[in-house]
Amino acid sequence: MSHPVFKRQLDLRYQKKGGIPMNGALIGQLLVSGACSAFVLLLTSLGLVIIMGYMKVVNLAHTEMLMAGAFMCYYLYSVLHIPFVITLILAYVISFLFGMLIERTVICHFYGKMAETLLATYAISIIMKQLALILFGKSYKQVAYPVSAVLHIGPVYIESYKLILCLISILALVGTLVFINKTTMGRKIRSTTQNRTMTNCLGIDTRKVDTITFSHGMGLAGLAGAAIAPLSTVTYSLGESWLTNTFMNVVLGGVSSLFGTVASSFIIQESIAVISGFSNSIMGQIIVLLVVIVIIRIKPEGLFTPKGRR
Amino acid sequence: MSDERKVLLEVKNLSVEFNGFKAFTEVNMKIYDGELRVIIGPNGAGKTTFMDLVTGKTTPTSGKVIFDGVDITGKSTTEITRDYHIGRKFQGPNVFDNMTVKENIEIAMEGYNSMHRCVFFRKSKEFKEKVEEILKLIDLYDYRHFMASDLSHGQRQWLEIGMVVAQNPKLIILDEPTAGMTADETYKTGEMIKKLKGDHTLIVVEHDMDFVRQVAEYVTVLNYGRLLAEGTMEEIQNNEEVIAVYLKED
Amino acid sequence: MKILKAFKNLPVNRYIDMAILLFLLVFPFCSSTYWIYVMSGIMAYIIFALSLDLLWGYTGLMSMGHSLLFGAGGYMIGIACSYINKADWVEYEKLTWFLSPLSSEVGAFIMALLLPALISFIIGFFMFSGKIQGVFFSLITLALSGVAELFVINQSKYTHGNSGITVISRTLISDSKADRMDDFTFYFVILLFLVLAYAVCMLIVHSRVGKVLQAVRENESRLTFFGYKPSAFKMLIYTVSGAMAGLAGVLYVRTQGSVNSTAVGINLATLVLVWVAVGGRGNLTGAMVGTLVLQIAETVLNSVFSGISADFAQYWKLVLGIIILVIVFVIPKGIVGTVIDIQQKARDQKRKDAILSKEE
Repeated sequence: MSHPVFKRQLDLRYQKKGGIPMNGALIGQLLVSGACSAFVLLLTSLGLVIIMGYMKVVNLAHTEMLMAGAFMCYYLYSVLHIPFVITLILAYVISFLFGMLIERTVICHFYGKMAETLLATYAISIIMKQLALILFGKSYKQVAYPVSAVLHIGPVYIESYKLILCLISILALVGTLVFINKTTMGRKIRSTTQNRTMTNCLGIDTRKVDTITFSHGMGLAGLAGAAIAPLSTVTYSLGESWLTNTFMNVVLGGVSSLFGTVASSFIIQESIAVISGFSNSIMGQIIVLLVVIVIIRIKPEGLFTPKGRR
Repeated sequence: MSDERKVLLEVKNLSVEFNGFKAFTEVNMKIYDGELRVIIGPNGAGKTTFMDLVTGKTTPTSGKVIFDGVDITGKSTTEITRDYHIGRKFQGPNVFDNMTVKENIEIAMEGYNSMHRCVFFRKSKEFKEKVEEILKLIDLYDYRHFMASDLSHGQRQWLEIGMVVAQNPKLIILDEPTAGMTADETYKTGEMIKKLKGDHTLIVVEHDMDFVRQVAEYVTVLNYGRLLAEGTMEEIQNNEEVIAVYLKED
Repeated sequence: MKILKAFKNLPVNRYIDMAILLFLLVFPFCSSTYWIYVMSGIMAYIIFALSLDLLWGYTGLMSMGHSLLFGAGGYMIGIACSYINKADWVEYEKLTWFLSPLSSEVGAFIMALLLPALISFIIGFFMFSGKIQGVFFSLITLALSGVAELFVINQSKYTHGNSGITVISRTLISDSKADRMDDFTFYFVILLFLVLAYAVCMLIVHSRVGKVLQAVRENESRLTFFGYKPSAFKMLIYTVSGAMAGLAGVLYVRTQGSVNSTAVGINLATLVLVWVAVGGRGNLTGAMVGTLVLQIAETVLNSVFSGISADFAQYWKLVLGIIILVIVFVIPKGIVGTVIDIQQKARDQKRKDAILSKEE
């Protein structure tokens, strides 16, 4: 690999072995790449948080939807050469429709039953994963970077695609916030979360609201999967590698506000980035998870949960 | 009312606020050992808040709750139940659904709730007899092997009364024990509660005025989180203030 | 006569338990060595499933990372074995202080039960005293299991990374080849442990502690008003369940003769959930039936289809997914749970009739 960032990281490791103390540039590099990863994590967890926050459904098929999105990106962008932006939109639409199908056939039967929902979504997740394995095989597929320039800002290197990912992430977040807070549908979603029976009595079809919420969450997962495809090797087990981080993010950020998710994405990824500078990224993940458990002990509802009445 | 009787529960200047909303304001009340006190009041009068305050579910903003001579203000629910023997029946049956009636009563039985006691627990003869006695009191002896979820609404209410009795508390708090019951069931519940009086001190919160007339000796009326009146059923029925806010609906 | 009547009044799942015991006792006398080996592994898995049923079925704590404890037990044996027998990849001279009990065979066995218990106690302490409930418990355990898999691969100094550790098989405590039993004897050793584990489970669920645990599952907040501390009970059962999962891990590793990172990973953690869900949770029998049925089915189908397609495993997992969906749709209480329900309904009807005729 002759990628500049890769080289840079090799240099860093070399520096460490040589006993040269951490310097400002290294910390800066770690923080910047941590920030980029934070936006990626935000993007990949957004759908999960929305489904969990607004519907009280834990969607274990979420990470497999990321995998499916990545495959969509591979086939639409790399094979069929559809422009990247349109690929992303298509990925969202296809995932949205798929979410609709899943919600109407499976999820809608299990509202309010936690164990059953977990089992059902887990079943969907292994069906998706095994289908991917059977259809696409075990091979690794690469998606080329839509933009490949590397920016130098002072001593810090950033891949331009990562900046684009940050942008996509922010757009997805803002789009969702606008959708939830400014549109009629969003108002219906919020009122359904607040009081389902009452909303039903007002003549709003809460079933339709559920379908839209779930499908939007799945759509975001598909979009995220497509967006991260160039960063990762596209294969059937891609979902698995995101499982721990996305769910950890939900646990720390809580599900009652998207702000919590943003903040916890940053906390998790920045900590992992900094710790992995000293040790390695797996130790970073372990330490962060343990710290999350300790934090959760103190604030069981996740950080940044608005204090309710009583 | 002579003040020679022993005071079991006393609240002094008790107030609580939720985000600026005064749910309970400066209430003073004394409940004597062995009495059956009925608390009435329109919706939002602070009846449930009162129970939450006494059982430690809510911490008061100011004031004191004194039980049996000990200040229990701000203590946790577990402590209050275990160490001070206050039992509470919730509004709407709140039982262990997928367990049998007998198991429900057994779980509630007094004195076996610490970890140590549970691990070294053996069913003694007295234990079995006590459980049977309670099952008969609440008229569910024939139903003892049924799952609690298979009982009728009224029976579930009785089961919960039975569970509270099994705790053998000094003070029993019953929150609308007859909610959702038929007239027959309501009457039966009234007789049950009368049987309990004497062995236990009872606070009953109720809406159903027929039921209140059946059981009540001494009544406290709350309104907007304040104490409106106290007295015998007769006094209350003739109290003009009370009639104005409450009894007129009846 | 009295015994006969008591026997007749047993819940239907106790008959199934007896049938399973009978089956397991007879099985090795009429099967090949290969199947005896397979069944030994399945019995170790049954102990694992029972430990999860205590936690999920009885207490309502749906751990999605129970394999963490299973694998912790297994790895203790693995590390001890590679250290004692000086496996060729071992480069370290001495074990670190907290692994030092592993230098003796008995110490390793004890550690394999204590470490999972300790891990679950610590996790339980943080989660249950901090009022983490319901789905968050599931998610945190899931994340822990996922991280544990990475951790095990990462700590290759002790765990030999992705390749895993080869262990002396078919011994209980000893790590020398001379002490290996034959498959037949070892089968009965595991069966003995299974019976013991089952007995412990029965003891727990029929004790007052067991009833309290069920009450925790049904209505935790109500329980506090009876003066109980639910968190203490949850920690207790999580610890016991952890030790039991560790034991299952030891036995499984000893049957297989190896341990690798899948033993702690998410795949096994969710697989055990599936066994318990398919069989039916909260009655012990379901956990056993689910494990037996699914694992035997997998082995049989594998031997049938391996001639046709080399990639049988991926189709089996697909089928597994469909089975779960069918189960949650058609019989959400699982196989055994549904059978018990039918019997319970019939008995209730009889009792109701009796009460009505008494009143008339």
